Amino acid sequence: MLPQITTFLNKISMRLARIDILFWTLPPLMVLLVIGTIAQKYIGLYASLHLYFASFITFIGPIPFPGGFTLITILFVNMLMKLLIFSKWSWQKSGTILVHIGVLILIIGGGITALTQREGFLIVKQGEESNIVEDYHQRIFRITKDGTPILSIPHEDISEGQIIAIPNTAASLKFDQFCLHCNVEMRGENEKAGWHAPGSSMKLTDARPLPEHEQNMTGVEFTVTGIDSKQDGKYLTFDKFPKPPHVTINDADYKFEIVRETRELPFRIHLISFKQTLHAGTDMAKAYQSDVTVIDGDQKWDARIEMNEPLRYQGYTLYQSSFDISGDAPFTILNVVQNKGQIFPYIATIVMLVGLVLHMILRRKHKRDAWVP
Amino acid sequence: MMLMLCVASYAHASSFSGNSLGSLPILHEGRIKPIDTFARITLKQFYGRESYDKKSATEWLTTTLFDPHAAINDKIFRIENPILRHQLNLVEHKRPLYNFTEISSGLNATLNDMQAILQKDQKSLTPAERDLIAMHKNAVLYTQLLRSFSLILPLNVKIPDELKGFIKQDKADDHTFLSLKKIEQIALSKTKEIVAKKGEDLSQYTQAELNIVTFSYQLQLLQNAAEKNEILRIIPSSWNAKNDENIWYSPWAIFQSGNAGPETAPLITDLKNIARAYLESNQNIFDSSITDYKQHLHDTGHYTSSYKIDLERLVNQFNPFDIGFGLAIIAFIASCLLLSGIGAHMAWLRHIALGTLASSAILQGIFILYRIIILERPPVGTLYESIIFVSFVATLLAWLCERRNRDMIFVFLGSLSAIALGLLSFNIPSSQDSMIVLSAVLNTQFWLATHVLCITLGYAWCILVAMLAHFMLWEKTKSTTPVHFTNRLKSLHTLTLIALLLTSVGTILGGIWADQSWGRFWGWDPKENGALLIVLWIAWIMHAQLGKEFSEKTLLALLGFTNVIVAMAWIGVNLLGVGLHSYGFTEGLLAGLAAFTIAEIALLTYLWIKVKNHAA
Repeated sequence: MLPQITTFLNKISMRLARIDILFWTLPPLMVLLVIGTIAQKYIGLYASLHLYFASFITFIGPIPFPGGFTLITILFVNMLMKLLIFSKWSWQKSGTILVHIGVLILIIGGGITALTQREGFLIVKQGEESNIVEDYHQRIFRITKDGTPILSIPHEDISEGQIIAIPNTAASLKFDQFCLHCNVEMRGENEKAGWHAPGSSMKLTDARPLPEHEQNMTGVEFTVTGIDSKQDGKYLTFDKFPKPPHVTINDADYKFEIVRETRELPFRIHLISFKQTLHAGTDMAKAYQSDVTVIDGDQKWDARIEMNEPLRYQGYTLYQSSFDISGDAPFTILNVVQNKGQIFPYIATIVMLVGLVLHMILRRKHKRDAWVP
Repeated sequence: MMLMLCVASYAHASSFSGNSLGSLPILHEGRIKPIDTFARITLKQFYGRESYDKKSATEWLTTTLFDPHAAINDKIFRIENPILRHQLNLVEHKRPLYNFTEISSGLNATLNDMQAILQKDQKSLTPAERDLIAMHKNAVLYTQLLRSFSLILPLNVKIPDELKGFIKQDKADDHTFLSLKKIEQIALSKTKEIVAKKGEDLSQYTQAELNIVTFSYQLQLLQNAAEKNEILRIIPSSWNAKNDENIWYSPWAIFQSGNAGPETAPLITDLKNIARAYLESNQNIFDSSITDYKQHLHDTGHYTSSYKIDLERLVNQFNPFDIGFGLAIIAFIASCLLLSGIGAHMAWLRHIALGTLASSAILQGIFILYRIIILERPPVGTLYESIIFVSFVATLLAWLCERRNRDMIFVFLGSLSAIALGLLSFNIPSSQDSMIVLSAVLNTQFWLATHVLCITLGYAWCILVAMLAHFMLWEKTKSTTPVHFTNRLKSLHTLTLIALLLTSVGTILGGIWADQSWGRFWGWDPKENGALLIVLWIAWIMHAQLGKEFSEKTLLALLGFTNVIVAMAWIGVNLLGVGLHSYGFTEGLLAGLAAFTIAEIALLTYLWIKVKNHAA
């Protein structure tokens, strides 16, 4: 039995290592690359990324098509098997082998990054400090009790008709409508019955999501029951709405809001100053620069964040993303990226570079030419 | 138009040349450049060309600045769009050229339309709406130019007798806004007194009172019209050193902003002398006053790189890239003659072909070097710069390959690449200076010198690979296999391998730059995907050949298609207008790219079928 299994596995391995797999995998990958790139113009990078590149299967029109994860996984397995089974481990082949090892490291790094990378932004006013990173994409329906969050539902888990209980109360709410991107419109006089502020004066309509996913204004309309006849009824709330609806249950204030997911950095950033330098006589920026103090427990030190010069600390990269100088004091907006696969591209690059150079040298030395019959 | 009535008009000698004005420096679009360059850019923006009515751009600008009365009759506004001409209520001419007087009423009538258009999403505008916006912007720019020197030009105003005693008048300084400014406050207070006494009914005024009120109004009109007139930034501020910024001001702006200092006075005097000399057609004084101005500019300490101005003027006159383009055409013709056999017996033709191709590469290289000197940064930071760099590398590489192969094919391919890329560079839709300052994210010498150069070198290699593949595919349509075909196949393999090396390394370096700047190596951004597409395309072909998946003709056709892949990655992704590489976005090349893609597919399919039929 064991020899049979071994033979079978050998056969599988041999098949997985064949170069025709690569030959048939690269064209769909290139097609996916082109379609996923063009799609960004219409649905934005975020949606395109999840639809085409960070997926196992996708659809081009009605036709199912392998997603980026599938194709890259096939490539990885094929290259790994080829390397392990068919490679001639000789000095003459060392360049090619190193290049392929480099590509494998790159793919491993890409996989780790895809699984672990988290991105958000940190806004700090000049003279103040913060460690709150707000997610660009993840919206949350949140209920707070006297300001303390008691329930959070990620936006992708919300579905119309879904009923949830308001924790530790007899009340519940039912989601009547959810829109990833809503338009806010005036509610007509004949539609106001049963609605509480702010829904009594406005309504949400489902709109086509914007290409820039972070700009989508996510909202929900919901019905609350089980409090009392005065407060039971319909409500609505949406992303960054400054006056979300609230009810009073047992003398406690319950607020319903859509917020971006936040997380805390293990250190704080104090903004000493933000400076924008323009090219002389133009409105075009030459440089942006945030002078900050990093506060980690008892330790403090100053750092400068500018274009192409991010701050790296504890696995986080903070780079100058945007700013707001319209108010009395400037705000800096720093993109915060956490990526555990960051080192892999650097290792891969070195390995591949060495491999490519070796390949060129050795090829010249041995004057081989695969294309000449 | 009312303003024009305040400025004096002069008859002008036809032999006079205002070209020396072009040697003065100006701060424009973030860079100190010669007025000559500024004049060319501005005239091209209005007129589409760098000279007008046998006059150089500088001469046109000189007239515009110093003799606005005469300038407004210049038909410099080219309006190609018939809808816009109709909208502006313009009379149809044989050529769609109009002067400022002709377009003014139409522009005034469309001010409300402009307000509505500006409220719209700018991406959804029609071509006519875009053209209307551009026309209004051009008109504003033009009026600013007309008024730039209105504070030092002799004025056509009558000084009230009552005020004459307050001014000291000599020949060199008569009736300019600056000299009359001294009595402006007196005129204004007297006007207030008159209005308080007699109201606003002019018929109640005596002639003397009317003169004072008119005079005061004219000075006020000149001053108001010059608000925010900042286009002609030719005077450095005396306070620059304190601010750590090299801001220059227009004559009106330095006067109105209070940034004038003791060093400004001689500059203003020189400008007055230049203006007067121009109006009196005194060539010697005009030229010597310009020399004085430059000397006084040096004395301020804010202008130290006059060699750059001289160099840029020289290149404006004799552009090495244009000459190199011309030489590439000669090399192309010579190689065609030799390859077709017509010039086979002319040994000297071979020298001409090689010599012109080498000279073209050298001149293109000189042009790139010149830009490095002027811009003080690595040579590739914009789409235009990438095109001229690729053209240079492809030409040089072709010349090097030709020296090895000696069969004229690389002269043919190199010159054809230089011509095609040269034409592309001439037709990039931009009214801007080709030497622009870069946005903040590109403000890095290291990454521009590594990633950008590496990837553009890769483009050049890819283009030469594709061109050679086209040629070899065409050769295979012939009845006999060419003698050097195997050697060419070897060259093609080597060139493809180097193209893969350069594009791979360039793409990886781009990823590292992205990691350094944005904290992630890969983000599936269009520009990144474009670069990866080239790498995957070449890697696919190389690996397929290892498995002998393609016939020779298919291999050549696919390598020929690399041109399209490069065009999509290089230019196509910029047309999408999305992603983090916003500094590279461009418009107006979609039709050209589509036509190129279709033409390439058609050509390669045709050659492939012909080879197939021939083999059968």
